[in-house]
Amino acid sequence: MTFFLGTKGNVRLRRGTNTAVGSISASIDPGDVNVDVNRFAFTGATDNLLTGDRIDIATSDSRGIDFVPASHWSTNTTEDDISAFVNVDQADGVRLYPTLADAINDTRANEIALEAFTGSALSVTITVRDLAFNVLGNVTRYEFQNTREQIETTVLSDKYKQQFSAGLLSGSGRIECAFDYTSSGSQETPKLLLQLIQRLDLGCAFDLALYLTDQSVDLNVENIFYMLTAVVTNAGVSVEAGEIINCSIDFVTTGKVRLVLDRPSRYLLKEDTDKIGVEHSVDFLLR
Amino acid sequence: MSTFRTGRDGSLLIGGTTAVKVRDWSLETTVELLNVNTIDSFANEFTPGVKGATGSATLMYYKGGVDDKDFSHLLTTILKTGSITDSVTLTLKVDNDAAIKFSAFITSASISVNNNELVVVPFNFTVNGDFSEDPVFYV
Repeated sequence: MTFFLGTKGNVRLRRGTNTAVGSISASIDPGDVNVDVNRFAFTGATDNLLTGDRIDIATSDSRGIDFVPASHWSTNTTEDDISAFVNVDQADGVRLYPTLADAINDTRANEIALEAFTGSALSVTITVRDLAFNVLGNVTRYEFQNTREQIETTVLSDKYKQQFSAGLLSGSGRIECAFDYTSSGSQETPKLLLQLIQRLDLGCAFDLALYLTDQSVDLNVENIFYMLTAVVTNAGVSVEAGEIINCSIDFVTTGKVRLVLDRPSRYLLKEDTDKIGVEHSVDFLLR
Repeated sequence: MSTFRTGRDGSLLIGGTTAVKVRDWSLETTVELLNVNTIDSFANEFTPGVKGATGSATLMYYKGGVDDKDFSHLLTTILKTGSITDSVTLTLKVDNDAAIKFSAFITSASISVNNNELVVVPFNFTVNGDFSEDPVFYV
């Protein structure tokens, strides 16, 4: 038997989980696109999009995503959908980036260029749909309880209480981490915990992988993690003089909860023994 | 398998199509008892009369794809212009092996919209005629 410390654990999360309810419709006027700063705007952007979200923008308009130059796509033609990470400012302005780190840090040198378009407003559907799980930074502790609904089946003449053992499964938990709003790579910033609850129309569900032991932290341990979809019920921050700023979320699960003893989801199984690394960009998508 | 059943095993079919977002259903079957007491009776005696059944179910208002028709199909049998003519075929399933199938009239339906609550469509129905020929089966 071996003892394991919490230092071998990890928290990974993926934004955007239910594409059926996780979409909003928007209308983009030609005047909403500012090509000088490569930024476009639509009503409700700040209410629903968070900086770092990977979004799909799709349109059924025959012009396609006309405010992005055709050179952005490998086909060199304007297509009717685009995937990118976003940086959202307080004026509903949205800037598109190819990577999470660029979006979070607003690295203007790497922003996706926009171009002006004419005619009527472009109706688009915007979906938050991140593909990858990102490590949540600065986590100090997490806890998770898996709960089975209790249904009593005691009948007359029983001498002991009887319980139905296949009631509904659910879970709840809490994540605490030291506050930070920057990201040097693919790590999610703790600031995200405070923002998730504020998605107005898209809702605050996200996919969560709670690692008890993570092979990327210690090669000598197996990957053992809870895989679930969480809905934020509480988000809070504690700011105290002389103390590190701490933020926390309480969540409940929605849908399936699994304890996985396996590879993380970003691995592809091959017939030979080497691995294909999935880069954290929007260019690796297979169509 | 010998085991208990819970709502997790149940479902409701409207005209043969499984309604996706059903919160609950219930059915109450009754039979009228005709009193056959005579003046020398010292205990009530009955003979069975006409049977009938009523029930209720609650659908959740869910907009997205083909599921829309679950509640709209039911609502339009009662919430409509003109006279009520259509009955619906309902199948109430306890699980895949136990089902009750019948034709019914929707006798009441409502949509309640509250802030911070899901929009639900509770409706009541009355069974029209007998249960279907091979409708009530418990395997």
